[in-house]
Formats: sequence, structure tokens, C-alpha cells
Amino acid sequence: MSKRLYDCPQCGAPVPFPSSIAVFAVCAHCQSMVVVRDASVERLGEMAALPPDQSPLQCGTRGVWQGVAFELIGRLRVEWEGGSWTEWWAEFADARAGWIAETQGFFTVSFPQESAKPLPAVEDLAAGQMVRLAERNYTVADVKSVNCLAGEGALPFAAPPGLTRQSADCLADDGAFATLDYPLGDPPRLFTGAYATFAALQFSNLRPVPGWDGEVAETRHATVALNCPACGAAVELRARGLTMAAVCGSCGGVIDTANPKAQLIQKADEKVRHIRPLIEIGTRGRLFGVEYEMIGLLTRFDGAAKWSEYLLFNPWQGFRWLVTYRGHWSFIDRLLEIPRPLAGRVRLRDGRVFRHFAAAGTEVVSVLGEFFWKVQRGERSHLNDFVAPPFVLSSEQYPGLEEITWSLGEYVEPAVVAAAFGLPKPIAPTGVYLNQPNPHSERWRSLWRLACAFMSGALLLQILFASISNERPVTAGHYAYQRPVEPPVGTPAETTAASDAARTIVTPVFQLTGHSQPVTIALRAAVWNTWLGCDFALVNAATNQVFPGAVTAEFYEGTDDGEAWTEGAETAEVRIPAVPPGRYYLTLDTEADPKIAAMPFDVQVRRGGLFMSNFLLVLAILAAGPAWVFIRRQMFENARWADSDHAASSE
Amino acid sequence: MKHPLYLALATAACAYLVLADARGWNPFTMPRFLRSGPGGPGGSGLYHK
Repeated sequence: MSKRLYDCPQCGAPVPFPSSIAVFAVCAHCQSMVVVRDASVERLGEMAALPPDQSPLQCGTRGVWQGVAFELIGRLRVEWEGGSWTEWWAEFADARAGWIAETQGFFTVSFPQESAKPLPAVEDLAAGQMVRLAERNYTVADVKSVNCLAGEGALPFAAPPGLTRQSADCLADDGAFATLDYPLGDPPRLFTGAYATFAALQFSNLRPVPGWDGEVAETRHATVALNCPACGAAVELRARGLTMAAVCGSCGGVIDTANPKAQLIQKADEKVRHIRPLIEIGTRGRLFGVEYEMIGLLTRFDGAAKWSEYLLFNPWQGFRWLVTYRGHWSFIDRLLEIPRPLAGRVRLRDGRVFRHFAAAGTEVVSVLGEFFWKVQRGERSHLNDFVAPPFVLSSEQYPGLEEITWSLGEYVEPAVVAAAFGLPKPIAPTGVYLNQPNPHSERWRSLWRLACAFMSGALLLQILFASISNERPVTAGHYAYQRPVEPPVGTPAETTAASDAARTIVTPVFQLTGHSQPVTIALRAAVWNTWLGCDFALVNAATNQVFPGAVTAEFYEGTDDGEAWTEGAETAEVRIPAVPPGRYYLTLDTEADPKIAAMPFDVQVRRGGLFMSNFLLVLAILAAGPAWVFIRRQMFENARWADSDHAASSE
Repeated sequence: MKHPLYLALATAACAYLVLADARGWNPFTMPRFLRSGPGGPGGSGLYHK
């Protein structure tokens, strides 16, 4: 670092130029803007005082970015139509100098980049447009006119207050960041870099934050107040210098806090007195390990639903949102990438895919507290929600502003919010919220895994038993059916019964061995467009235990409307379950189609085999539990998607 | 332990499968055990030698 020291042309105090490429510095003593020309310095005038802010950074703060140490040596406070942010000029240990932009609690680190091709004209850029810069594709995130408010320390160009230029921020799919800078009268410049978090920049030599830092504990919860230009009431600022608008809690007037004059940007609204936040402004709570203070509340309406958004602030982490609707809560953070669009879906760099849920035009209905942009009642935006429960991804587009912002939220259980901010009993959520985790999903997954394990086990058991329970023949016989002669009219019933008994066939006794197993009775007859059946009884010769049954062989064929058909077969069989071992015989009482006078038939007895119905019954029992949970899971998803733009195609 | 009720039911179902396959049971075609001895079904005595 090549440090030069000049005397301030105004007050004579030493003005350091810590970098060899610094040409502009602000005298810390008299606020004179000092510019180096050749070997001398000139005074350009007096720099506006930087508004006090809650940033923990200061000139002299050191840090590390991608393994390279750096030090902040100057800063610019710039504003645009919708808000303001701080640009820190940093000198790096590898002799590079770059910009670290601090806004809403996140950072971008960028360095000047030479471009072999001409840079696009600012008039040709629009938010959402693809642009190729330095051999990489970017999406334009915003195009805006920026104005220098104030500065301090050393800078690489003269930056008097009021200096205006055009600027376009661009994002690449891989998280790379680029800024196109269009200074008046000079060619455009390209800066490329990446987004960074407070933790990633490994800051040291930070400034104690009043009201937050342990070193200034006596000022904990301290606020700065301004007077409402409409009613004169004191309006407390809890994130001074970082918020652009504050609402007077007394009259509802919206005050521009970016401007030291604190002008009214929206007239008073008495309704502000009737707003009853669930979390009071100024309440601090610890969520996800970070302490946040609730500093603002706005209510939006999309024509069908009204929901509340609580703005949380932490000096080191920046801003977050707690969004609540019908008792449901989501914790929202700014997304530092532009999701890649797919058909009806978007994908994040980490692979998470979000399905489009709904698009809606929204309007701010009420505001309370302070905000990092110049919010107003009636402010309209276009919102697109994508969900991958418990996460929700939202894009916001404001008419007239060439900017698309993305935010990523996660569902938070109401009890967690209540515990964090010391709320009384949380409101019980009603309905299914768009990113509410499906309580049946995890149950379904674990139950289905368990069911698959049991079903696999049952299949193995069935295969095992099938391999050791082969069906084998026991006996067979060849018999003949003879049509009975009609008894003469007046034959006594006893005589008829005796005649029937005489026609009954009784097989020889056969042995069924082994343990209790099924027995199959198979009948075969050369039937054609006719039938032959047997009422049979399998009788244990020792115990007279009887297993009755019936089996019929029937076969038909013909043509209908010129189309040939067949039905039945020449063979039929019946399986009797759990027949104990022993000596058995069969009685066969044969009947047939009356047109058959006589027909031979075969009867075979087989032992063993398995019933597939047992296996199917067990599979059904094993699948019933997961099926019930699956149905409940689907019902939950149906309820979720019923409120979406895609209600007909619910998952 | 997750799903204790399901575990118990599934274990019982698999135990049933083992017994049913080993003994040749089938709940859907349970045999009708007729009364033994003379004067059985139909009273014909056909089942008894």
C-alpha cells in the first residue's frame, strides 16, 4: 500500500491518500473534498456529512475475500429512486482495488474488468434481459440512476455530492455479479465480482454498533428519533442510515429518512393507530441463532388475501422478513442469485427446484415502522411465488422500476416465532399454506421404506415355501359318465335315492403323506359346447372327516357377429386347503349336460402347492398403512394447490 | 422406534404367511367340515363305506 499524505488546502490538517490510485479524499477535520492534480492538491468544496448509520463497517475495517486480505479506505453513500446503499472502496493485498457494496445486510465485491467488446448502451438494457459481458452470460437485475450523497476517506475518482450516473446490476447463474457503470461524459465501465455475506468477508476492526454491541451495552435498545414533519411527533429510527422511510406512529405520515430534511413522502393516515402488530415494533427475538429487532410492518393485499410482513433487522446480518398469513409464518431472506427458469418451475444453483404456485398483483395496504426503501401505502408490485416446501421462492417486480428481486423463505412453526419474540399463545394456523411442510410426507417415506422391507421379506418367504411345497400327483382314475334313465312315474322316493347312490363313483383308498397341505381335485373331460361336473367328497377313511366340493369341466365356442370366441376348458380343478395326512377316498357324483348320453372322464388327486391368495392378502395388509398415509399426503397437497394458479393439476 | 403399530401388524402378517404356507391354509376357500357318521349331508350315507 503506497500511502501519501497531503495538507488540506482548507484547514492544513493532514489528508491521507492510502492508495496509489486514490485521487480524491475527504478531510476528516473540515470535510473538504480534496483532489490530487499532478503533485498538488485542490479543494473542490465541502463534502456533505454522512448520515449516521447502524453499519458496523468503517474506514480501516479489514477483511479477507477469497484468501486475499483487504482494507476499507473510503466510502460513498449513494441513493437511487427506491433507496440507498454504501459503496466501500477497498485496497487488496494483491495490489488490486475494488468496491464492496453494502446494502440490506449483504455485500457485493467487484473489481474493474477490461472488456474486449464494446459494452452495451444503458438505453439498451432492461431488467430480466440477458447480456454477455467479459465472456459470461448475465441477467440484468436492475437499471437505475444513482446519485452520490456523501463520502469519506479516499476514493479513486472525485465524487462530490450530487454526482449522478447510470448503473446496471447483472447476475449470472453461478452467482457471479457485474455492474455496468455509466458516468456522464465518460465511457462505460465494467466491474465484475460476486455476492458475499458478512461472515464470508471475515471482517475485523469493526465499529461498535450503538444499541447492539456489547461494548456499548449501556445504549442497548437505544434509538434515534426525528420529528414528523406532519404532526411533530417523535419518530424513532432503529436502523438509521439503512432505512429509507419511516412511518409516524402518531399520524401515519410516511417520512423520507434518507434525506436529512426528513420530508413527508406520503400524507398522514389515521388508520395507522388501529394497526395492532402481533410483534410490537422494537421487540427483539432470536431466530435461527441470530438476534433480530422488529422494525417495520406492512400489510399487502392481492385481491383475494391479505397478509402481513414484519421487517427484522440485525446490524451484522441486515434485513429479514417474517411473513404471516392465517397463523402461518415464513422467514424470508433476499436471494443473491437469479433462479434458472424451467417449464413452470425454477431451479436454484444448489439444485433445488421450485414449482410455480401463483402470480398476483399486490398492493401495500398499511405500513408501520421503518423500511429500507421508500415504501408507500398503495405501492403496487407483481409477485410470483414458487414452492418447494418448506421453502418458498418469490420474485417481485415494481412497475416503473427496472428491477426484479428474488427472495427465499422457509416455513417457521408458529410456536418458534412465539417463543423467539415472547408472543402470547400463537394463533392456530388455519388451512394449508403454500410452503407448509406436508406432515405426512416424512411419515409416508419412512412407512413406505418399512413396507417395502416387509413386502420383500414376504416375497422371499413365498419363494422359499414355493420351492419346498411342490404339487405332486397322488392318484388318478379313468371313469365314465352314463346318463341316468328317468324312473317311471310313481317310483317311490326310496327307490330313486337308491338308484342315485348306485351311480356314485367311489375311488380306491389313497394315502396323503406329510403334514397338513392342500389337495387338488382335477377333472378332465372331452366336453365341446357342453359340460360335465362332479359333486365330490374327499373322505378320511379313518375319521370320516369329509371335505366336500364340486368341479365342472365346460367348454364352449362359437362366433358372434363373425368373431370367433371360446369359453371354458376341458379341464377344471378345485383345491382343498389344509388337508391332514391320512388314508382317503373320493366319492364322485357326476352330472352332465342332458344331451350327453355317455362320456369318459379323468380325475386326478394332487397334494401340496401354495395358495397365492395368502401372499396377496399379506401384501394388501402390508400396503394398507402406507396407502392410507399416501392418501392423506395427497389430500394435504390437494388442499395446498387448491389456492394456487394450478388447482386443477394438483400434485 | 418409528411406526410401532405398523411394525406389529406387519410382523403378524408375515407370521401368518409362514403358518398359512406351512399348513396349506387359505381363508378364502376354508373347507366346510361336514358332520361325520351315518346320516351326513343329504342323509344319503354316501360318504361312508
